[in-house]
Amino acid sequence: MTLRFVNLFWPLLALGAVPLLVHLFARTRPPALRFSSVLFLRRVARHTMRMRKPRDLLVLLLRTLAALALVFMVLRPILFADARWLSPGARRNVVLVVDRSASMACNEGGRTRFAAACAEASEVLNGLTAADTANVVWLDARPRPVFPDMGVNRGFLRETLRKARVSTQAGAADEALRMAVRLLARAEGRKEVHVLSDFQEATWRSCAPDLPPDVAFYAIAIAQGEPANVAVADVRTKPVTGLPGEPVDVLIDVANHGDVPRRLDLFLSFGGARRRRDVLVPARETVTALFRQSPAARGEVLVTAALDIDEDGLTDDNRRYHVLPVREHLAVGLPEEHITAMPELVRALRALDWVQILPLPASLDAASEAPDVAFLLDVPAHDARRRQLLERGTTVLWQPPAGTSLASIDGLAGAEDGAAALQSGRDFRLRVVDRDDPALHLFRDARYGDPAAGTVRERLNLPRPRGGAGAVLMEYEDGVPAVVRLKGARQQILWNLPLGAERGDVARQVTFVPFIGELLRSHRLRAGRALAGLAFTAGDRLQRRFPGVHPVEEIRLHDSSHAAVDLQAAAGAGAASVFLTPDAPPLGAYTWHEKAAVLGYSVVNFPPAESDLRTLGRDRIESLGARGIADAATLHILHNGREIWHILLAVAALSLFTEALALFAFERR
Amino acid sequence: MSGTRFKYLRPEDIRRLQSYEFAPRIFAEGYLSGRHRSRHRGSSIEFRDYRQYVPGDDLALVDWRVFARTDRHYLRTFEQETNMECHIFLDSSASMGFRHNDLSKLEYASFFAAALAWLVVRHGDRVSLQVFDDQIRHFSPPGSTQRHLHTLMHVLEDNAPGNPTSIANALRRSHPLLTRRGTLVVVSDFLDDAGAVFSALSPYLHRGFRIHLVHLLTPGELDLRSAGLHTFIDMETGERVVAHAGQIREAYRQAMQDHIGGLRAAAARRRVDYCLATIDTHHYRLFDRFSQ
Repeated sequence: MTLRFVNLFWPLLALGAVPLLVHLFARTRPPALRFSSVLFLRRVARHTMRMRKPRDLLVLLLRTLAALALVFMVLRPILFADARWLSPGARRNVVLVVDRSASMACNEGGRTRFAAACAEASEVLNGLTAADTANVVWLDARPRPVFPDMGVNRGFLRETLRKARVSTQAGAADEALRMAVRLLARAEGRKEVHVLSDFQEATWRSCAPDLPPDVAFYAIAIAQGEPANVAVADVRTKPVTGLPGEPVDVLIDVANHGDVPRRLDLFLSFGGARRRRDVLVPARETVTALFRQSPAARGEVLVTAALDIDEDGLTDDNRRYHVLPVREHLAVGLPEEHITAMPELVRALRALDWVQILPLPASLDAASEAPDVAFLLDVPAHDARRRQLLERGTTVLWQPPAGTSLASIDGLAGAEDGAAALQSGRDFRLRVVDRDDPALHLFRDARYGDPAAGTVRERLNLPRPRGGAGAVLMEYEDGVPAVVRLKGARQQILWNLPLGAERGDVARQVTFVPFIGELLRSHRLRAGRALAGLAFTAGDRLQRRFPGVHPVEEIRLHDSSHAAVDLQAAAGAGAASVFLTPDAPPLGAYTWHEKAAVLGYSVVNFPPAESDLRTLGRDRIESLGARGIADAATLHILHNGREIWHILLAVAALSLFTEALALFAFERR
Repeated sequence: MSGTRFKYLRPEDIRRLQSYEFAPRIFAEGYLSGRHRSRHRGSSIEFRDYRQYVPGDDLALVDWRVFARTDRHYLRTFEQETNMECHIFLDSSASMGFRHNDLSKLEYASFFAAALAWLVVRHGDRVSLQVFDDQIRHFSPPGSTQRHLHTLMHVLEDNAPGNPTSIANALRRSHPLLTRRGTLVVVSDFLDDAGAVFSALSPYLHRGFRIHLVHLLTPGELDLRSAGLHTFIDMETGERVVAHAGQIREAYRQAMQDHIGGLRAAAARRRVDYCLATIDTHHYRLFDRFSQ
């Protein structure tokens, strides 16, 4: 801390010695009292004199303190908390990083955190002089500045702050700080970044700002507490795509970010059907509610989960949307060469009326439709289609050809060296290993036969997967795996079950068709591709690809209130049309129309991480590199100092009052 | 007497004093025939005995009839029936001017002395008055007439606090003035050295005086009732002592009690009557005490 004086006249300090002089030259003259004899008084008065000394010292101290306080008050001292701010000529360049992520919509004390942040930002701007420059960077999913460069038009910035609204997006703190540093790169003078944020843990936890040493980072923490908040954290279906009439599990995650358990009414809207359920969510926990629904027809079903709650930290996260694609058929991809080479498999697939065989060309382009499940039998590991399909979320049943390096087979890498050797010359019998797997669940009792019936005369001698890399569903009697569900982010089944008539009779067994059907139904697409173009997070622009040619003037996008949303056409690949919104639309469900027909839905959801309103502690904020954590008024004092004359006046008054009290107390004794 | 008004002897005082009867314990002996029987032989009308003449005896007492019959000189002795002599010693030092509720100790002592003198004269006894400070400022020889009483009243009214106290000095100087033994009543604040006072009283005790010490103090002198810091100015010496009454009150009270205790103990050892009185009580209370 440093003191500066406006009226610098040091001789005034000599006045501080006045009480001492008064004390020395004008000793207290108590009132005279004529007494009959001081004979006895004189004997005991020595004790009194001993008591008077500390009292006199105390009075002298208080009077001197009062005099000095008054003298310093006349000198008009200004207290600076930081000596770096004592360069009055330096121009200040201030970038205000104002957090407007979704958590800033939290209402505290009758106003949102965002409104408080804007007010504090205006206060910072008010503390700047005409020579200073400023800019505002909005901190949301895609941070951007108000001015392209540092500017002096603070009035416009204040007006922008006044009109600004909080977003429903997540916050990209690192990007916002990088942008602030870029804005300050060419500035001359003092460089300051003021971050006005609630410092929500989810946003700032992983933030590691790399600020140049000449840039001062000041944190203005807006949050006043950590209000309780509940949210619909996720809505998903199992399976991801539905078939008409097939039961679909709708799984809804409800998160309680408060410190007390909450009992909530959870509403589900599945197409036109509505259901309600009581949900008890423990404190700081997430529970999953299960609804089982059956789509009636092909198309897309809009699924909405909502919480009915009166008081909540955030309200935008109490509703969440999901789109369930319902197909007429399950698309099963087969390489074009398989269709003729594997009649047993084709015949089995065609026996399933809800399966549509989708021929896979030798090379898949981006526009070609990806199947739900694909059989890639005797396809080399380096085949591009397998990688492409896996990337698109397709479940791939892959049978590597003989001689394939074991290291190139997912799930077997590291198990053994060498290649997949072909074994033949005898009959290999099968057996079921995991009867609890969804694909084999139907065959747990003997009513539907044994899916492992039949023998195989030629197979690959594969090692068993190790370390939990895969689950063996079916194996040969000697332990060689026949069907292995590989674990991982992508859905892949290692197939070691030759289907040709010359390689065995498995495909001719009566249980083969139901086994294939159950395998396809239970291991079809789980996640990813089906929601591409359907579900978005706040801050994203809506984009939808429709097969075929659709003129942009015929495609309309309506929000939940049936208001039209601006659209623009993007370059589509192949025979497809791509449309997107020019801006990130608000949260909600959007309906795509072509003339009167509903083409589908797209939903914009609340970023789940924003629901947790916990904030960083002071030490964590300081660890980000902040030199000071304060409010705008404090920062104003940091820059302009604080006049403390009124404090000195209070000290003087208090000293005199204390002296009077002390004297009164002494006199009373 | 009833037609004259004195400052220290008011008609209402006289009316009240008329009801007092004093025990012979106080009033011991006088030289006139009176109501007080003395153990000493003297001149009187009641014959007591004969004794042989020795040179120096008053020839007027020789019984010449016996000489005529026996040719020896015998003296006639008579039972002496005396009146009492009361000697009032009134301290008029400066400290006696200390007041309490507009009444100084000297005024209080004057009221007491006037009443006592009236009582003594009323019973036909003799009373003397000595006003002293560090020396004898006035001495009125014993007398029992109304005129003498008036003189004493005037002396009291004209009296004022004077110099520093020296009771011992005054007692020593008074000793030759009292030719006959009697009752000595010393009214003072006794702000003096107790040892010196009783040393000066020793000749009186040796001569057989009955001595009564009336110690007068104000409540403020007993308890130091002043509050706060004061410069205490000694009324006798002018000495100044700055002290905080609140802080020294206990110690002062203890010192005063020690002094009173010393006086009381010394008086008890010498069979001297000691009476402490504060001037906020009426001086009749002192007579009540004497009447016991």
